[in-house]
Amino acid sequence: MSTKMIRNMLMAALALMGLFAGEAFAQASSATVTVSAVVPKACRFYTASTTMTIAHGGGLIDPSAAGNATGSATLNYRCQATVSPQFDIDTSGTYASPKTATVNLAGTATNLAADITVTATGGAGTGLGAGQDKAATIGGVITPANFSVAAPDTYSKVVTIGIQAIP
Amino acid sequence: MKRLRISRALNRTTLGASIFAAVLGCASSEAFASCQFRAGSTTGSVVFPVLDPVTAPNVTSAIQLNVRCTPASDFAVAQWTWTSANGGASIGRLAGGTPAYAPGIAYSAAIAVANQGANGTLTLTLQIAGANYANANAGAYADVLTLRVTP
Repeated sequence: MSTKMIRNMLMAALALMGLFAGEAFAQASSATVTVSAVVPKACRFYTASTTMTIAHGGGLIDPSAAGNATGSATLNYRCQATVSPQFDIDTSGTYASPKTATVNLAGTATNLAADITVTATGGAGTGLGAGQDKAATIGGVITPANFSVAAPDTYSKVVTIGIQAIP
Repeated sequence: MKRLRISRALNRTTLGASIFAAVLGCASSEAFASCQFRAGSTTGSVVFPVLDPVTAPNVTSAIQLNVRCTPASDFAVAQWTWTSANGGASIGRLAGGTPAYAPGIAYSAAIAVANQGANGTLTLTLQIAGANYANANAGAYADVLTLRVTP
């Protein structure tokens, strides 16, 4: 066997190795990546603010009245489907539904206590998208025990209502 | 003399075969994948941060996989693609929610490769625009991305 023959055979062997190497990569390589995410329950208000007047009528409290002075207002909220909201009043850190708290309306010299209740009148959410608004009713009550001894004045307070989904 | 003639014939045949094999080998290398995901990088997972639909910021998450190209020059011509099980080849989509969120949560995917040869890396970057989950139902969402390299 001549040197040339040996060289050519080596070339053939090397070429075949190249062929087999090509076959080793013959299938497109692939990898799989699992992608995951979690969306928590969520609710939010879609009404920025509202005004509620607590009175007996005509925007006034009758100090001699035997019944409560009351007021009502509405805020719109949305929750994801099947998710129900709960509320906080004046950032107490405690959410409930309905949520009730006593706040002090400030007058010139004294305060006037009022009971505020927030209720999810609209119930569970149906989605966060447009057209899914639900009503939260805010009720205010000032009892005769409080307004009967109040000085004539205008009393007011900005009350912050918080909302979150019931876990 | 006779043996010499046979040897020459054999010699020509061998040379012809070697050239043929070399051509095949070359064609094979160019036609098929020479880049691969390295062992330990054929599977992975990307977990997005919690998607709060109230604030709904854009969120991004990424994973890096190890790849190799042999020869290294194939790194330049390799095509890295992906397909989403719930989406397609151009958009990824997370499915899930309770109740099921019909549109799913769409996300984008981008592939960047670096370092040719045996120590290449593929970085898969996924992004969800806030608007894509601002209305999503609560719950867990998932998808499977299949990454492929050709040739």
